[in-house]
Amino acid sequence: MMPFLPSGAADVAPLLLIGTFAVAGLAVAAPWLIYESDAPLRFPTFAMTLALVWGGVLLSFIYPRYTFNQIWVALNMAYAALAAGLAVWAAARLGRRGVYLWPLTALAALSSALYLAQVSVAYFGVAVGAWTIYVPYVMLYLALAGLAGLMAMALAGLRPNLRIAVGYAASLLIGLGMAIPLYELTASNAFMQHIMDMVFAMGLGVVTTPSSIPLAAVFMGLYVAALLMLAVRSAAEGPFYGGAALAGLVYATSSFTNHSIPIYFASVIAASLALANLAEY
Amino acid sequence: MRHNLSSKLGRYKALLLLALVGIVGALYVLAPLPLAQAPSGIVAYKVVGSANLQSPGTESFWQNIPWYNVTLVPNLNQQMIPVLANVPTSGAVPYLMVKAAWNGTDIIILLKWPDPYGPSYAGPAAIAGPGHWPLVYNPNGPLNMTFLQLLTSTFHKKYFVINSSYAVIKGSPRPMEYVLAYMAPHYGVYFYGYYVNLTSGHYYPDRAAIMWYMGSQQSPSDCMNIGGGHPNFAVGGQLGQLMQSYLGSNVEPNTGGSLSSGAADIWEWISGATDPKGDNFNYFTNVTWDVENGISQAAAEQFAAAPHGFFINLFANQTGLYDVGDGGIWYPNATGPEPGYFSGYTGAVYENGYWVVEFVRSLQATMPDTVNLVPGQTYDVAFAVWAGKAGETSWDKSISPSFIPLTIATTPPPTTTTTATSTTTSSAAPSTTTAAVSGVPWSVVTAAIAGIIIAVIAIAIVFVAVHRKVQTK
Repeated sequence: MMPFLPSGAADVAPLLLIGTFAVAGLAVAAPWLIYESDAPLRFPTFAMTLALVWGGVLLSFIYPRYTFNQIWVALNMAYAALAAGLAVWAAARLGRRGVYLWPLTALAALSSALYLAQVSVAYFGVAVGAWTIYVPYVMLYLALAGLAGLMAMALAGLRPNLRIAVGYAASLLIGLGMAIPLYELTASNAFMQHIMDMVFAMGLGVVTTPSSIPLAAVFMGLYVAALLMLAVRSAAEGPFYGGAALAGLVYATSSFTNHSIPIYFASVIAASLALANLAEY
Repeated sequence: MRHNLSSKLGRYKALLLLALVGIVGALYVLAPLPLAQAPSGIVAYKVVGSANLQSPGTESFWQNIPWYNVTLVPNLNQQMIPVLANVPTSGAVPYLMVKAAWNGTDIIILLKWPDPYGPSYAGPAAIAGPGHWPLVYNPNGPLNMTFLQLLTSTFHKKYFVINSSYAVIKGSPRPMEYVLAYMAPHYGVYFYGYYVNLTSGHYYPDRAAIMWYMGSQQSPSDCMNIGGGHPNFAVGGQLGQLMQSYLGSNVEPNTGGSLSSGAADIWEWISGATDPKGDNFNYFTNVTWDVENGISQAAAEQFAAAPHGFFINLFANQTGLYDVGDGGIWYPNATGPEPGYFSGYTGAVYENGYWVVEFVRSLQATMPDTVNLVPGQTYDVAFAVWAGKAGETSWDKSISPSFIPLTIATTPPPTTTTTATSTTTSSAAPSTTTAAVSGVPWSVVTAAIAGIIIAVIAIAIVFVAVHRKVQTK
């Protein structure tokens, strides 16, 4: 999806359609997963998700100014808090095995807290937003720590055999394959560093300095490699690792967004509940 | 999971889920159905009163509206060559603060950002200001002078050498930027940044821009393509041949600055040209110059009689970036002369290390290809600022990482306990007081939400404790 070389807008258009399809599908899948999960607060969470995600669609036809209604604002804030709380709960439920996901859980919780602060400032006039300008750096470090956690999870207690070794090698190659072109493009080229800095910021929502774009390219490749390695390990040893990888991916990717649609929180909740269910595996 | 996939019921459920996902997804792809919106972003409150452009930000109605913090992409410029001891080290504008309000006819947007480099009123290169001079270098050794000579001669630009590794090209045409980006490093010429010399007065204007997205995407993404001023610009001569062999083609596919989908209206304030204190503001108050540059004569005459700070409108879509209402001073023109060219007002002041800039425009669009604002609607906006004395100009700026929703609310600003008293004493006339919010007091709602957060975390902790007990039994 990253336009490493100049690409025309026409190439991006089909990707936008895929994105729309995916978000709409997610609006169906997330409530379903929440309902199917074996978690406490299952029914209230499911009801709230339906009300916010699909109730909002209904309201946009019958009451177009619903987004500024006090009740809607309060519900969304409660939902954001619920997303943070359930992410923390899921990590706690995993116990020692959840240690590897703590940085990404903290990232998801911090992202919710940031949303709550911004809405409090804009909609309630409560001056709690002064710390928000420092948050992007903290979120970036948490994302990096999350990468370390995912890598550690892929390697801890591993009993290597040929299939796992081949799978891990392939994962690393794919990760490198994604990272190297971007690295080569930006390593000594300040101009491209600035361009890709903006692309990273706008495409992934990740804010970095242009001089660290080559490093960001390396980390992006390592993220892809870590997720693929966990998928390989999951295929060999059971669903826990794959589930943890997916939850980690959902946390990492939804935390940097603007949270302008409730689906971001719904996907975090669905991922957290699915993760908690994997505690037995 | 309540049913696992191996059971029949589980499989039926999984298939039903997949079918539902496919149907809903296809429905959203084919029809422009809305997704539920969560409240977020900037709120433009309904206020009574009008903007005071001589002292932006001091109007009484701003007191009850809190600042919204927009983190900007830290665009840390590379350290410039210290020609003299007092050249400042480059930095970025790390954040921007925004307030928004509307008063029934006009929308008023207040921006404030830190600029430790001091105010710049230098004119923009497009009018009569210092040109954009790229500083090129080679981090790996001496600069490849042969390639530099070829590059500059192909685009008819002179250059001067600072030392064996650094040189300054006196001009930055878009097609040359493309070559600098995608080809020159291979031949030992790297772009370093834009040249600044405070002593000789070679620096760039301060600018601020607000981009209003006018398309239908739910969360649009910007695409800052670089390249030639026109799409399919073909580079000729020996450089073109080198491009042919290295890149596969001597034709540059992109134009400078375009969107991935939809269109956008950009409001841009330029200290050196659109502010009355700017070095080149007098160009716009000269009717002859205005008409020569494609601005409507009626608008120019009206403006010359009563000049004021203004902002220009740019239009961006998938094919590029365009000027609206003039003959193409910065970019190709989109509309031709329009009488509403000077209808966007600005007031700007630099104090205590901060720029405070106020944009005022009627809600209704006054020119084609500009955004029409309707109360009650939400718009996606993005911001950009340039610190001219730090060398930020052209594509080199500080931007908001993504679009931010801006809702034009039909309610007045919330009254907080500390500021409630100040609004009632501001004036005897009843029209300047803001109405109190009726219904549930905000503090109660805030407390309720805080309670929910604490309750959820408490539930989580209790569950963990109970679960552990059950497990250890």
